[in-house]
Amino acid sequence: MTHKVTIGLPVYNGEAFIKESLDSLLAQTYSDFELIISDNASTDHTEAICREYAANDSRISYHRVDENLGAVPNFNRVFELSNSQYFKWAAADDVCAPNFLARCVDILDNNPSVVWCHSRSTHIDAKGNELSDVDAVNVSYAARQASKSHERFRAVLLGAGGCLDTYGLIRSEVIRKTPLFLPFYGAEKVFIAELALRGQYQEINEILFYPRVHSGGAGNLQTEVEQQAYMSTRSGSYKFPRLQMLKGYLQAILRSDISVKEKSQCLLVISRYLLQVEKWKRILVRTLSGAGIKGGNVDRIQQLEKQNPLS
Amino acid sequence: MNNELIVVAGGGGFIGGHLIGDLLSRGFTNIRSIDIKPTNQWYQHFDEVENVVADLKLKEHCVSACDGAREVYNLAADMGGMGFIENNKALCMLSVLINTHLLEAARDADVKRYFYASSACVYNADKQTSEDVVALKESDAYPGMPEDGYGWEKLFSERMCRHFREDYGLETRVARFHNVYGPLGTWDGGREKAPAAMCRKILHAESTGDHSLEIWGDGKQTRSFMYIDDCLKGIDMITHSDIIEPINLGSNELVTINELASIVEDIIGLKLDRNYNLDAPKGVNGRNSDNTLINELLNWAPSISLRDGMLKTCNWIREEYNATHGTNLTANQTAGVTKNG
Repeated sequence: MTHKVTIGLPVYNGEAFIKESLDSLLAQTYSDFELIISDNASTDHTEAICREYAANDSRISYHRVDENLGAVPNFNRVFELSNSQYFKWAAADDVCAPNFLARCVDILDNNPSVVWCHSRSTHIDAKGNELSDVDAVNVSYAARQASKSHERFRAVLLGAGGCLDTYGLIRSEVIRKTPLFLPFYGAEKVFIAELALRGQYQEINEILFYPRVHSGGAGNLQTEVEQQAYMSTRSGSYKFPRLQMLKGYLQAILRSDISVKEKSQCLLVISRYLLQVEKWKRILVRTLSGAGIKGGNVDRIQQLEKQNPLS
Repeated sequence: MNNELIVVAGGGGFIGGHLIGDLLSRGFTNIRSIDIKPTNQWYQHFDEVENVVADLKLKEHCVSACDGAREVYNLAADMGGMGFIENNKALCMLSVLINTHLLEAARDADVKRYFYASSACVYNADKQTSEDVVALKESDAYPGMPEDGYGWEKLFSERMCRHFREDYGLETRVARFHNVYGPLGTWDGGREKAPAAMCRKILHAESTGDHSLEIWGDGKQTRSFMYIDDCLKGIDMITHSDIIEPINLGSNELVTINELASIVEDIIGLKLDRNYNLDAPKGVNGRNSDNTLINELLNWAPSISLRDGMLKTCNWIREEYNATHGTNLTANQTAGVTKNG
């Protein structure tokens, strides 16, 4: 039987936090969902944990590949395995409040123009304690709620903030119109930019999502080699991720069904993006020195783990 | 947990004091409050935070102020009601030194978030001369023709926040406040604003038995007033959002001064004879906050009704009045029952 919502959880060696993540999903007050886990050939206890959970809850289906596909293909795979009206990606280390899904479903059910929705977020550490750093607390992407597509597009490209809303609830029919996640580090920004071109974002003004910051997290890979190795097992084919992103943005604009006027305004946003000279200078230096796009949490984690060493 | 240093510039002021109380109530304990006033003149004083008397117009004081800070709220400015800002333009414009030096110090201290309190005074004065009140939307600030002195400083400082963000990566957020009121504000002495003044006048009438009420102007000028709790919620939401452009933070519940008087009369339970002083300053004809953008971006806008906010404000002013005048005025038992009972 088809459920209204699919939660797709790609995982690789997630034994440290996956129980907590699964528990928070299974405890959702909204229960009409299936949970698809795609295990990217984990070598730790992930498989045993997932099989045990799947045996105890018929909403869970566990899939495993024999050889690691790379993170992006596995991320896309959980969506490709789904067939429901709404879709949510879940990470093996994050936590959702019990009413997260209910609130999101309510928004999509009642607002046909809303394509994706999410709550505010507060980061947690390995032990589940809320961080207090201003960038970690009460994170909001309010500017993405603008009514015009080019304004939303601008908020994603030029505005502050990351892309935790990737873990929001999204209309599957809209995801199907996108190429999903492109094979480079930072692909979620291009994905969210395409959603922004295709419809409204709505944010719940409460903190219902707790992404975890820890040293095993994918947001913290520093060098381009590390990032590529993470993205795909086939190395060497993804040079210059910034240029790949630019191409991704341009194709998303051309593919979208917005008016010519909106498209031209989006292209203006792209030109502003390119005119951030200082930023591009830094990128050039980083590219030449072999460093990747900045993985934002490294300093924070180093400090955190210095103060609060993991047992 | 919650231990990153938060700096409130202007912490001795009306909004700054409330902001510190709000932060404390939400579990933040590492707070530095800075004001130029001697501490005995601060609106509120919390012993549990670091209280500093300093002149933030001076760069070196700003450097010390921002030392170790992760978040800076700049609510510091030389200001007052319309009477004050009309007559002290140079003084108002000197607040530019506060924001300039705080921005530089915040940038150098690697501050993560910088909030700047701007004002509805940045709006083009041409948009506020008509009798028909047009709600002010964010884009109406340009082309720039703000209120002389005070408004020019605010508009310039907003712009400087933007360029510190663009050029140096300092995460600045800007809200344009519209008429904030509430308990623990000025209610007497000439610098108080209309809501508090109205409470005081009507309480005074109750106390003395002189049932006449002087209203400046014809009473038909319109205003909107934001209750302090809405202001605090808005500051927090805007500071932690990705809204990098200045945004209105004000109520759009438009009332005439006559309507404000009626609300307070109702709360206090007294009907007065109104005398209109047509020679007194009455300010612009009308001004309102257009909340389209904040509603769109935050799914929220100030919503505490004037009646609910005025009830709390009146109750506080009554206690202050009793303490100052040795009177024993008591709350009208039926006031606000419809919404608060």
